[in-house]
Amino acid sequence: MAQDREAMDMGEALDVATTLTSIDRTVHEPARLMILAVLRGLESADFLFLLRQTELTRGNLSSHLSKLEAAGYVEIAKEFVDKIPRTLIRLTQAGQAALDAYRRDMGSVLAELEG
Amino acid sequence: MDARLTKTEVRVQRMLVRDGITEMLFGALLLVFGVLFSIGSPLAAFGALLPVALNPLGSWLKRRFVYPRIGYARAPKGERAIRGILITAIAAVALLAGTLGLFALALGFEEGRLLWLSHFVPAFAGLLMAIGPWTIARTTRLVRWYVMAGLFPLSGTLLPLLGMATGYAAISLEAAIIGGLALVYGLGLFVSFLRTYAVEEAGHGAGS
Repeated sequence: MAQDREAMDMGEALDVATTLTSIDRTVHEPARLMILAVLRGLESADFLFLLRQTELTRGNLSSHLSKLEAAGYVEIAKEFVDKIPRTLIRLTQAGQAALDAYRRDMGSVLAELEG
Repeated sequence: MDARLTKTEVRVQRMLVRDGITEMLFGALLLVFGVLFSIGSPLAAFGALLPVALNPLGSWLKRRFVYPRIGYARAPKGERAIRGILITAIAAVALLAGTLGLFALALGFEEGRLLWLSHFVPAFAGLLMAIGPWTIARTTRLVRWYVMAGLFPLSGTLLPLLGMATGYAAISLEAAIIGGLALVYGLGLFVSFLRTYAVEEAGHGAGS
């Protein structure tokens, strides 16, 4: 009986470890996670809006956006509004899927650790 | 956007209405329409065109005062909005016709029609006018939008019951009162917004 319990605990621990290793590290970084979470509720936003919402520095935000763009999680496009250049950032479908998967995986890991 | 919004999404949605411009324009629209309608001005017929005039004003205010301060963000498009409006309109007409029939059956046609028009129609119009604020309240979870959504059917019910106005007069009065309140509240929010957020000097570039 005790051996069964021990085996079950080992199995659960392995499940948690497997889930943890499969966590997307691009999304897992707190600043990038915040950027994706802000963009999730919007069709698009410009650099200043993200700057205000995330409270990152300009350099930091720019660097994280480049990484997210390289991963295909955001699209960055420039457009002119009243002759003023505006950089619009949009969450892609891949970014949406990655964020959803991250929430699901982390939710199950945390549930396992708490349970 | 589904109903299971995260806290971050709610915060972002709140930021989109933080400037009070939506309240101001919605309030101005209701106030002008209510006043024109209550004085029986033929211009009231042009009330439907007011959003056409107010939309560019709202866009200009956003460009001039909001985007340089907090940046630009576009809310997701309501993909099912047109279908929803169409279904609501059809349901509203069907409900109006159905209740008119019920009133006529219960009280006789003339008496039933008069009571329906004087007491039921203002409350029903209040419910319809509450749809917009209710939609915003659901995404922002802001008390002021819930209050506004509640004030419409409440005033539409109470004004005829208290004998202050009935029928179309009650509809125009409720629009004017709530519109005036929303306009003043929106102005207050707008001033507070301007005082809270400074213009970002470096513009909108992505780190450039």
